Amino acid sequence: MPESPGPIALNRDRLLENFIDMLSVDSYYGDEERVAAIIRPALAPQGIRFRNDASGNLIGRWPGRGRRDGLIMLNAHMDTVQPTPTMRPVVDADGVRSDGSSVLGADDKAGLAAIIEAIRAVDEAGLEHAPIELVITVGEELGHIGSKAFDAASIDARTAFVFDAGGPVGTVVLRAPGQIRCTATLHGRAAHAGIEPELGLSAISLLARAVDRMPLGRIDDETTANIGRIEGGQQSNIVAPTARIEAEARSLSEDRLAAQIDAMRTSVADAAADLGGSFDFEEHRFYVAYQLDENEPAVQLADRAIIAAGLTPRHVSTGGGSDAHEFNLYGITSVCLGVGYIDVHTTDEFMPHDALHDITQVAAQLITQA
Amino acid sequence: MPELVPIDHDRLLETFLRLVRIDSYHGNEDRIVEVLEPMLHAAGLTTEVDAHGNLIARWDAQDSDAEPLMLNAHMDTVWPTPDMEPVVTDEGVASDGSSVLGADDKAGVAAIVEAVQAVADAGLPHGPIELVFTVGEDVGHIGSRAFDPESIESRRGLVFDGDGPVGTVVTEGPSAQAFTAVFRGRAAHAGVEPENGVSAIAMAARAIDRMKLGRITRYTVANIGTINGGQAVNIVPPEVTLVGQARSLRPRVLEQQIAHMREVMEEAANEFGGTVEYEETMRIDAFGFNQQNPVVLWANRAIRAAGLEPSPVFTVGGSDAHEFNAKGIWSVMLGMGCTGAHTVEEFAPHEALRQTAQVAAQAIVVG
Repeated sequence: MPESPGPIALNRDRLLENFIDMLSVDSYYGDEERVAAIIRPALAPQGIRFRNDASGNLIGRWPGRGRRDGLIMLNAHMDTVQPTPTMRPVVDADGVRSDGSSVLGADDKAGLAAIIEAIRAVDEAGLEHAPIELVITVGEELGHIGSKAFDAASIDARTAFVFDAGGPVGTVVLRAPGQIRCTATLHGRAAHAGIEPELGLSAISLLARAVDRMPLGRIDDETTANIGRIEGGQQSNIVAPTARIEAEARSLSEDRLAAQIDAMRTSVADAAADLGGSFDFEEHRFYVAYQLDENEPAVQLADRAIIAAGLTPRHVSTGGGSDAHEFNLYGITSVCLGVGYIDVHTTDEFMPHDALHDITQVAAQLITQA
Repeated sequence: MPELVPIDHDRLLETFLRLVRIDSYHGNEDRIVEVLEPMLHAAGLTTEVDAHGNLIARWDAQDSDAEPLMLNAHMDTVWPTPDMEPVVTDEGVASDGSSVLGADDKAGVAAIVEAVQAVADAGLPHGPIELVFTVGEDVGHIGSRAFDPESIESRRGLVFDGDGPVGTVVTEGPSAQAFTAVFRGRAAHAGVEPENGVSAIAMAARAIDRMKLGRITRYTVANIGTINGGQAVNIVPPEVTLVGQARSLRPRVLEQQIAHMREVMEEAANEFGGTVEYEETMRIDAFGFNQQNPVVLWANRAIRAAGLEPSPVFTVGGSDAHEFNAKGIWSVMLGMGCTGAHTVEEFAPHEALRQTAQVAAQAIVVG
């Protein structure tokens, strides 16, 4: 096990400048190349040549210095949760925030900036380090599009660190939920609501019955469920012939997840049967739950890097999804790390200077201690 | 028994086909005005378009003592009909399936125009007649609602826009209220902190599940027509909008039904810790005439003179008749024998077109 080199000297100005450069381009899904165009030249002096895979992920390798063992993969994603066409990052003494026109996009450009500066800093300091593979993904926010399409056989690493968790720097995700999304459509019968409502059957009434009987929200300490969208009907004077919901359920336990989806389907089926309508229920797997052991070498490496950065590791369960789900499913043991960004997915998104510095130090320590 | 005004069946069909080939969805009714004005001028009427786009035509009496009377139909259709080519068979006229036919209400327009042409051709005596062709009936009685009753002299009218066979006289129309209700909860990440959210979808569902809907009593109906809300599947939905309505021939029962709907919505919102905002978007007031009312007697005379039997009915639909009645122009609606209104199956039988024109012509001459 390599010795800790102590704190690694980071170039804070360069870190911030690179972060701002990436925030200043709109890289919503489909436009990630704009960020890739910043990453490639930033790491060219280190000899990293990136290639794009078929879905647009950026894949590169940095050979070890003085080391051939300890290969790890580092990941962050290039897309943002919404387009940021006019957003100009606002820098103050505490950190970087959005101008309010959209999200900031620190999710996940803070992760990218940390990885880039860590490599530059370790390189400049001439420190020994393990070989590093970089997998910089597209379309994470829209359902892990890049990581789902990624060919795990195209890299050698079987340990990965995903820079994309909520929570303060030091956060280490040990458990993350599985998620299933579903769409339920209730079918009734249209009729003129004024003249002959008795000939109709309101799909809105069917759906209301189903939703009112459905367990939703916090189901238990491991399980949640939500109906995110509802739509139905044509116009005010027509008995609605169809109505539909889009819903999700998540659980740290795959058994509880299956039970929750069953309960949702049963509510829909019962409402249709009670009131005389019919239904379609479609479900698709969004991601599969994973669990890492505290004694897993990858988790221990994360803990060491965090401690070397002067922070305290926090082992957590999360309710969210990330590219770590997909990599873990492929057999690449992947630890998702808290980046320290705040209020992501809102226009209040904020990245404190201290957090950006800390997560970069963690990345640099990972590289040297792997 | 007044003589039967000779209707020109070919001209009637030609006028009707010409009108249904024009796409006159609300906003484009001027395309109908352009066609009607020269025809009405040729028959001796003067015309004017009011500030709202309604076409008003006046026909002076030969017998100046008679009471002025209004005939009405609307020029818009329920949907746009840009590509619709009418299909003529031995039985009648149908849509090609691309849209509605638009017999609602161009059958009424064609019948009224043929009636004045036929009466003019025959040189028959008549009282002062005012024609009002309205805009935007199918999108909420826009033209009739804005119509200035002082712009005509008539205080009685026949509205050619009814369902049912020719001879049907709609003497009662409902009170109605349409509304929008917005449920508001609180957004939260559905996977990370659902307990911090309040689902507006859950509130709306509970409210609807407790709501009496459909046929409430013989004379009262209620409906939630659309529901829409939420943002993304992983966000607890902060807002849901319902659009609904209720109608009743009995205004007090309507008030009770609306109160019930509002109450269950408030209850459901409170139970989840959210709010609901109710906004009335449309209100029409019921009308009802007894069988001795002069406007009913006029309609009955015209129908009998056309060789048919009057049949009084009530409707639960809204129409321009509601608006005219609210403005003091007593109006009943007449059935025109067309079927399938507001669907691509809409059909106008030749016989019904002829009978409707005959009733309109007799209405002009019997006064």
